[in-house]
Amino acid sequence: MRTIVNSDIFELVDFGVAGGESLNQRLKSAYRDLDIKYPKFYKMDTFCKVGFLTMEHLMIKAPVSFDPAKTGIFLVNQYSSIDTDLAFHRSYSLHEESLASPGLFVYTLPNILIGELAIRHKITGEHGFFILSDFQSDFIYLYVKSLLDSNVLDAAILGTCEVFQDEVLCAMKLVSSASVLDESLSFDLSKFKEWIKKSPQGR
Amino acid sequence: MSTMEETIEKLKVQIIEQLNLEDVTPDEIDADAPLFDSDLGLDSIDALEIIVMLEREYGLKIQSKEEGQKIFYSLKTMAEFVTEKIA
Amino acid sequence: MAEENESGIVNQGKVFISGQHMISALGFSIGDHVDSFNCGKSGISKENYSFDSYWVGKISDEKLHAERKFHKIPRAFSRLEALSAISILTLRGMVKENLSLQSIPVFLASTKGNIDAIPHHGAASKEHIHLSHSAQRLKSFLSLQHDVTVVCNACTSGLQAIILAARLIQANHITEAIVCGVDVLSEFTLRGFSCLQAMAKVPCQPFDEARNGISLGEGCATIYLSNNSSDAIAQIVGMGVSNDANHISGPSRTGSGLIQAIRSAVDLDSIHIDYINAHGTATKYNDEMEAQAFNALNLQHIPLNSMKGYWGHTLGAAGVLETIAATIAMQQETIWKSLGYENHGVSRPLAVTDTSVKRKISHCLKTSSGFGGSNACLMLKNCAS
Repeated sequence: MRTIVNSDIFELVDFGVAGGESLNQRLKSAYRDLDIKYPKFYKMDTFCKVGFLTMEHLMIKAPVSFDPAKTGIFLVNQYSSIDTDLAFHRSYSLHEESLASPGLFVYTLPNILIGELAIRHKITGEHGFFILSDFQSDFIYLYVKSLLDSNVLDAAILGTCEVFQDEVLCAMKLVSSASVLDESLSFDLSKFKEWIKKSPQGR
Repeated sequence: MSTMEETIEKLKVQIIEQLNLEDVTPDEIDADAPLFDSDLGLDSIDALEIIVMLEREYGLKIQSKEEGQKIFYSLKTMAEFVTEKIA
Repeated sequence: MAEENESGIVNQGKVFISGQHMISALGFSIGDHVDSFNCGKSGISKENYSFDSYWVGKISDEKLHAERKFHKIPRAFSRLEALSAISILTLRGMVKENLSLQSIPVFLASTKGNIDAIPHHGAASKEHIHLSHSAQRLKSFLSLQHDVTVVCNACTSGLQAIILAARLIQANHITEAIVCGVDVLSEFTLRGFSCLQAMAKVPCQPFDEARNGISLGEGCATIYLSNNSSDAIAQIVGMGVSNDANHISGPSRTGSGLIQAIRSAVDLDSIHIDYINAHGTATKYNDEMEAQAFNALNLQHIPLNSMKGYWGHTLGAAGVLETIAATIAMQQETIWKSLGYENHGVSRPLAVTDTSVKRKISHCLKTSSGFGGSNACLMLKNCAS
């Protein structure tokens, strides 16, 4: 697992699928490496664990603090919470006697990740989870820009979190009215992946 | 160990697993102490997961959260419920 | 024309609703819905599934079949995709002559899409499970220029999609938009809410003493938004979205998030709200939370209802469906009975309508709350006069 950060307060974590450890084990090690006391982490589904860890690293790096009521979280992906949806589906359909799991059901919505991040970092501003069939959507970028321009928000965390089959990817960026919104990095997943490949290993 | 103690120990392991209480060991759970409003940090979803666990492991059906609240007061009250229903 | 309000928020363009269409258990036209509102008739019925029986708001299969034929909806389209296409096409026919859909940005709100397409014991290889795929299909079928943006944010998706489009119009990034909210009944969702013990054993009873959960419903509702005031039904004069930052599936006990959202949508000192169209899902916690929030803002005397007794909790469709109901209420000067409410069952006072009231409505507050701690609200201004 590599955590890649550039000086632009951009956090991108590629959890990959390489290596002998299972993804779950790697996520738990990454949590323990953080040395924070947040046992709720263990109850989260894979999707939220991935997003949670990425934002922890982002927040460690973020040098300024913003009014939590004027900070928002905006996430985008292609496959929603499908990984957890399948797990919940299995919980009631695998065998005749299988019982649906409430602990899984509450995670079968992608915006629950936003909820977990909001709880952890006490962020209460305007937010949203969006699904796009390809990642070049001007509308989400323009929407967030309009919130910053009109002073509804002072800061926003923009990102993507995807857990689908072999793909486990999360990238988040902190933007504020003071910084320049980098249009070229607005939710273009192929650009994110190119960037991962080109970036040096380690932190 | 008596049946009640065995049941309590078994429930501790089952709860730790069902509720993903990763950093908690059975020794750390006080069987007499309240399960909710405690350091374990259990919430209403955990209560529902316990209901599912009891049905799956012991075939016991709890129809409502209210009914569950009394049974789940502590591991001891849970063990008493399980022992009584199975007998 | 930028104005800065007390919170330092700069408002630019104006946003008007000038076209709407609704589909629910009550029917496929606004007329069908108004007839039921006037009779106090609920569309919630008991449906039997292989795994259990539930009180739900089910859309008529016969009517859907007829509409599919009429609009020549491809057979491969799922129930959800068909409803969305039908609603958008019907709206196009109503709004203005020869409204060309091509260049209008479309925003779709849905929580689960075609979730029941998950094959038994299978992996999610079938692309039609994914909302992103449904969005692509709609784009192709309707010959849209832009990708369809999907808002997937639990029960606040509908209002959030309206707000997304409205903010883009206000900032002059777009001049018009179509917002469609849709969700269908599914085994996945029925089992899910059932294992949370959140399903009512009778048709849902928002704000009532005896309430014990939701009645799930399916719905599809579409509105046309633009910066043009001609033929406007209502104007969106305020918006707010917030997160409780408290619990992922239970609302904040104090309603702090909803309070924050309402405050950012409206200056309560300068605008008098005539009607509140609440979220009112009929769970113990949601309705209690709303009561706390409305009291904290001194809104407990304002006539209030939940429309969910008429069609159930339609999840992603709810925000749009209920906004339309609110604008119709404004046009008809009627605040309909909050179906399912008889005995006050929240710990703070609220002016829940136990009978329909005739009332001139100039401003209406529409609220939603949802899993993930989200809250959203709209301030609507009547354009009928």
